[in-house]
Amino acid sequence: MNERIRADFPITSAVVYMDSAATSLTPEPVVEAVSRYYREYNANVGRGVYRLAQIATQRYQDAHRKVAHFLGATEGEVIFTKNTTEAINMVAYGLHWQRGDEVVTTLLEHHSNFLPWMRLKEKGVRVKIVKPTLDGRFELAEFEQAITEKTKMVAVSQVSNVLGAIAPVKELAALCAEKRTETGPLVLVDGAQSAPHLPLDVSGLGCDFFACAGHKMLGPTGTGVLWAKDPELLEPAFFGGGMIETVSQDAYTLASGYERFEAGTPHIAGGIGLGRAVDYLTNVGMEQLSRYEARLTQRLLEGLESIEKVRLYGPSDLRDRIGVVSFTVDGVHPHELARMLDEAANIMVRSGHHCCMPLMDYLGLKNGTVRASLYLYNLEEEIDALLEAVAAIARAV
Amino acid sequence: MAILKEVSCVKYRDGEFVEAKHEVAEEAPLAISVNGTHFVTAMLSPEMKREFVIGYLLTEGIIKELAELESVQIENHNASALVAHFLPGISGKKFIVSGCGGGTSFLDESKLPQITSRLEIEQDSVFAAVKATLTSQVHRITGGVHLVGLFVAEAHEAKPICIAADIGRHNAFDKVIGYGLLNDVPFDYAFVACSGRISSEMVLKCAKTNIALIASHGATTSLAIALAEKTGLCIIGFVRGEAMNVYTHAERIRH
Repeated sequence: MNERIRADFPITSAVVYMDSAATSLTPEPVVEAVSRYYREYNANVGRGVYRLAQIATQRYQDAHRKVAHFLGATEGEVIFTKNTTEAINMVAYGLHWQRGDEVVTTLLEHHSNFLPWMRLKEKGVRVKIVKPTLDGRFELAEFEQAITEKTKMVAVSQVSNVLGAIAPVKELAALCAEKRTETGPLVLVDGAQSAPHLPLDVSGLGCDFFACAGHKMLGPTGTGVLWAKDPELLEPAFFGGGMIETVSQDAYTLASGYERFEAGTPHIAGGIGLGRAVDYLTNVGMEQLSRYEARLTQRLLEGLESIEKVRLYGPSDLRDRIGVVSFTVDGVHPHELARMLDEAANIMVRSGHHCCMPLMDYLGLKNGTVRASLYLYNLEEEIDALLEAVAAIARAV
Repeated sequence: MAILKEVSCVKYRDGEFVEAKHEVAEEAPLAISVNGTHFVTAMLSPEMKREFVIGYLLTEGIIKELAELESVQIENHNASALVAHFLPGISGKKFIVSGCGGGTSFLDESKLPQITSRLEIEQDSVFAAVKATLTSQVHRITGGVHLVGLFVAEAHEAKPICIAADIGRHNAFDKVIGYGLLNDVPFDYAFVACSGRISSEMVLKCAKTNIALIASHGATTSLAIALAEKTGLCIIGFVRGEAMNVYTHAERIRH
């Protein structure tokens, strides 16, 4: 990655930012796209015939197309949401559930792909939880065992936000396709951690729903995406303005397209900013980005492994993981370690349970971990700075 | 093809009128708005609309390169373009008729673009390009419509890039320019062959895109020649069989 990219992220000149798995930094062209909306053509979408409204509408529609293209969505509908959590909830709310239906999910899910399914227990839905290996990998046979003719949904993360482990979602989707009946299983892939880092082809993945977060892939906060292969399966979760064709005193017809699922005034500037963000990623090239991050990840993993008292979590093989790296230092609370890295070395990392309490219980990590998560704007020098700081802290304990 | 439409007609043959069907060139309006403001409505053959809009915006000077064009959405008879720079001054209500001389450019000689292309081609390339344009599949099917072909001079050959048909000559020209822009065609090495008269409007479009040579099966006009002299464009007319008339900048033909 070159100087130019680095210059697009002014915060990188002030701090070492390694919490991209929580939210990524925002490049200048995205900031510019957002501010241009407010400065030049601030208007609501889909409603006005006047000039500004037309410009805003066209750019907002274009943003949907750009995201669809970026994700490799050649069919279905790309719906803008406020985050991955909202996207997954829209699916959990929008499907028609019956008592006895089953959902299969896993123990390493982020709460956002766990709680929406747990909540369905109130409707008599049974939730089955597949356990990963301790380094976050899955045997397909475990899913095969869990899926029955009652399984309506299989919901899994493509990449773990704690361990960085890549799950075999394509193989899993193929397995579900084999077992598919009229009622399921449908497949939802939580791509919050994969979409920012890996080249994607959601149509080829074989899933029915794909959810991701715009703000983790250089977009503004308050942006997320739900791709639905067959939007007809979903009842909209929200009703109101902008999502109907006609309304009378006792009836309504829903709009077609993404509008059906985006009731009310959406985050227009954010959506347009997200469109600019995927343009940015496309210009960098996802293959190139992914290779670059793999180099950084290797350096980080090898470095951490060589430090005494450091424990690493997640797969050691680079082919099985991305640059989301969880670790602990014996004798230091993860929050304390993160605070020291900030104060002593100007390095921003996340600490704690990372919204994955069931996984932390399973791994026996009641205090959680420290997580360094990398992106295209990180440098090898920054990895070295982190390693040096961790080594110094470990020595001092 | 979208360019043709079957219609009913009454044919008069051998002293009798009979009900018949016949294919005619289709003509349809396309209203183009730029940054939310209506800019122009063109009557055109409804195919290659995207190429037309992009080519038109370039040859009308609304954009100077493709990168300035942020979005084009086309829905039925409407095209909506967003360009990078805000254009408070655009006021449209123009109308391009499909016939001749319907161009909309203002003629201000002091602002004539200068062609910087150093293109030189051989006469055989001119013959080959005009022939390829006139004998294209499109022409054989439709007859009657105007054709414009975009070619790139490569070694001693004229490599065909795109041949467009339209009921309007200028529309066909804009279509090949749009195609060229979308496909990264180097206009410095490109030239154009066409079926109809070379008008002053065509000369201006060439000058704005840095295309240095235009050759036609048909004639040209005095104003076209005057403008071509000043911009550096080589106009060749009446390219037929083994003959042609070079009206301006004959130095671009190697012989």
